[in-house]
Amino acid sequence: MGLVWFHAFRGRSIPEVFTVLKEGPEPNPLPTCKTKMNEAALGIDPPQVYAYLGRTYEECLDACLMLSLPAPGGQVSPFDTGGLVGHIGPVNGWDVDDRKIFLLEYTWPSDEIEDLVEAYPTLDQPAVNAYVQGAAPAHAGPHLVWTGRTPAEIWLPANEWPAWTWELRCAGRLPTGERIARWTGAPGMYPLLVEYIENNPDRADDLIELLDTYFEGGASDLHAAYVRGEVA
Amino acid sequence: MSRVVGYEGTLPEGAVASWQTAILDDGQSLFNPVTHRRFSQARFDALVEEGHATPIRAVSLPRFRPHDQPVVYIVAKGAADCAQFRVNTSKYGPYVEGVHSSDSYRWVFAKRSIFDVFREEKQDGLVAHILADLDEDAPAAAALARAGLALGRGHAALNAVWVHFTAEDRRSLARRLADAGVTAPAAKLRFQTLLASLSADHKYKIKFDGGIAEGGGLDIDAAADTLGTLRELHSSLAPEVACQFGFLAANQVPQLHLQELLAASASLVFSVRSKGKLRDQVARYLELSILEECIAGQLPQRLAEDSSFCESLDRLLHPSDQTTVEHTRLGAIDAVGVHRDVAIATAEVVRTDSLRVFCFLIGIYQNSERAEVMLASPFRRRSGRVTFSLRDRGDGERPEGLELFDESNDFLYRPFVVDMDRQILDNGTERYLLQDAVSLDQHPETVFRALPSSVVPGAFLIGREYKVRLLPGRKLVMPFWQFELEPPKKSLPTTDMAQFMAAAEVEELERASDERTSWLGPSRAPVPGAADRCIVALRHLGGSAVIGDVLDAMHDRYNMVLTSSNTLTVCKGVPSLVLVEGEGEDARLSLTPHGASHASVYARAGGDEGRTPPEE
Repeated sequence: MGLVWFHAFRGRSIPEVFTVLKEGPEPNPLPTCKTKMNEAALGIDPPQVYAYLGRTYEECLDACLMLSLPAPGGQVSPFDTGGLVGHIGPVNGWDVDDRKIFLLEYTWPSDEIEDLVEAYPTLDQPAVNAYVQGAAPAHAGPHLVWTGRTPAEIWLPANEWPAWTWELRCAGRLPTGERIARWTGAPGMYPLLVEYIENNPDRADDLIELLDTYFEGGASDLHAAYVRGEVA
Repeated sequence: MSRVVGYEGTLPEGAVASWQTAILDDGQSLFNPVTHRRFSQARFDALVEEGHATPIRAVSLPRFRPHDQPVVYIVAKGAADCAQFRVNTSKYGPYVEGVHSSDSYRWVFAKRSIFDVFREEKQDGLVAHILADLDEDAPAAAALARAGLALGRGHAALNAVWVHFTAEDRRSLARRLADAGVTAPAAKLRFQTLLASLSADHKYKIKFDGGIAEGGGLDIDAAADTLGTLRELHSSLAPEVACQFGFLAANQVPQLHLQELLAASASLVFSVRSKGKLRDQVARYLELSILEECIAGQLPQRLAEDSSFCESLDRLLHPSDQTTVEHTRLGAIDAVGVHRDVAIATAEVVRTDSLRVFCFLIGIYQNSERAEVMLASPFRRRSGRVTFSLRDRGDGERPEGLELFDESNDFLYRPFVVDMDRQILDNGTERYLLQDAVSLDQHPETVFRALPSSVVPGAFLIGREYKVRLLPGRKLVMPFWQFELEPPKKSLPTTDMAQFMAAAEVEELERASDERTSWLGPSRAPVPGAADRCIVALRHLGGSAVIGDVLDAMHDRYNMVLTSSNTLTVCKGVPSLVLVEGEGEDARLSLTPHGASHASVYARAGGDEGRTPPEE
């Protein structure tokens, strides 16, 4: 099983879906959303769009992208950054500057992710399987993998999987294109997709390609199939 | 008790229908039954707010089991054709419940397996409706077919119908889209066949030379024999068409249509043309396509095991020693010779099992010569179907109790108890011979003594006697199941088998260690799946073992080298059967109580033969 990124998006209208697929998803536009507040608390600017490695962040989703591992143009951290403000102890109890320093120390350019996953969760298949199923890592915190940085035992089972899941964040749009390994939405979307293509024959070549990676059944089915090793 | 309180995602704008993973509440927290992730009500409310989920009025699931994976099926009120997508809840009894809102119809299916049957049958139903009622309204037909792809984009017939009825200037684009949607190799082939069946006036030609056609032409007797043989073949081909293409019933397959009889060249030319509905044309094409495959030596399994069909086919292809036959296939120009000897089922009977089973009669074919019944069996579409002769019970005599068929044609989908002989042949196949049929409409109280296995296909649980009664008020009652038959016909559509099968599965598993019961195995041991192999290994290891020992046992038994990660993934996919504790090389696998029963039945029903599976 290879590691891939998951990103949830709302797939209510077909032009909206195709825009996400072709141009990439954008940061949540709502100024009052929790993500924006967390970004402000951590000094993350401009607004980012997020994906998670091997896991879907939401417990149930409207639509979902599964993207290949190489991730140019963003940054990665081995935890959910929003959790540093919210539920990930002990960092959530630290003062603002210490949290920012912690985040900075455990942030890498996203094009290094292939090397980073060799360190955690490693390429060992049982470790990868445990990782995608949300099991706590063998180490108590990222400082035991990347030594010399601020220690914080955030990978203990007292926390939950967002504390040890790789996060990808990109300013602007999350690059998609050939990186889409699979994508899905409500099955009722499919007739609308093909009708849209029928009505836009000038874009047909471009859009039909996207159906090659369409997964029927919705986001939970897609993630479950991924965990079972049925989709690459 | 678990309750469905919502579903994943939302109904897309403009969609007619959709189906989505149900979100459950078991009193402790909410959870997603597919990913098994748990979350709070507050989190669910936030997901609803963000457009990732939809709440519904709660529906209790008293029989919920972890692998059920309930589904919510949604149809937009007011959408064109929404009536075609509605659920007849009486067909699914306690396994479906409507929870409609002001803007949509919603049905909660308690089990994904039952929903899967529903959607396949609904798609077949849409195709049947289009072919019968919309064949002169192409835009409406295309729109309905396309909307039906919400239930499954890979449905070959629905894609074929959609492409066929799409306006000519868009048809090539629709074809490309259908090609992208129909991905399974077998479905692709069906799609191409069905598209061809819709689109042209094809002909199929059989030509005889020498022998009965010596010097050109055919004697009247020879011509009559040949046509009679073709008529016999139709009686088996029509149910085969219905089995392969669920949108057609066997009685909707018209007789072969002889377009030309070229006496001078001893040629028979069949056409698919029909004065009636497009459905007749499609049915004729499909029958001819199966016939030409048979004549080319590619017999579908059911027909290959049908000795009377094989005998008729052999008679058609070898009317005399000197006669040669060639045929021109549908859509082809050149004729090709037929040299193959038909493999007539001449195998010896090595064992005969007399079985008294409960079943539903689901088809009567040409001249009432053959019947098809659906037995309670694993919930795998069509695998529980059995056909047998209504003319010959194996000794040339007619089976008993068939008077109902002579008096009325209103017997389809009625419940029956039948006595049948299952003959196991030395070539590894099996044959069913009807001995006696008892209609519950005529005999409201009777018993049956064999229950088809839900664990090992083709096996039967025996040793118990089950009383079955049809009570006033159309209630069908037996010890482990009861159901009110659909008014007003007292009939039970095939989809209701889902409920019977689920109850029969529970009954079978409860008998796993009952010494008074046993199982009659099938003619051939089934090829074990990945989960079956783990279960067999675990059973031989006493029900619990570390992953390394399980892998060793599987290697010894099946000569397969397997990885622990793949095996753990397989076991985690059947949580009701195998409990996985720990990770990696330290993982321990244990049969759950359900799994232990399953393993016991698997062994007792003849599945645990240590057969080496095909390479994966």
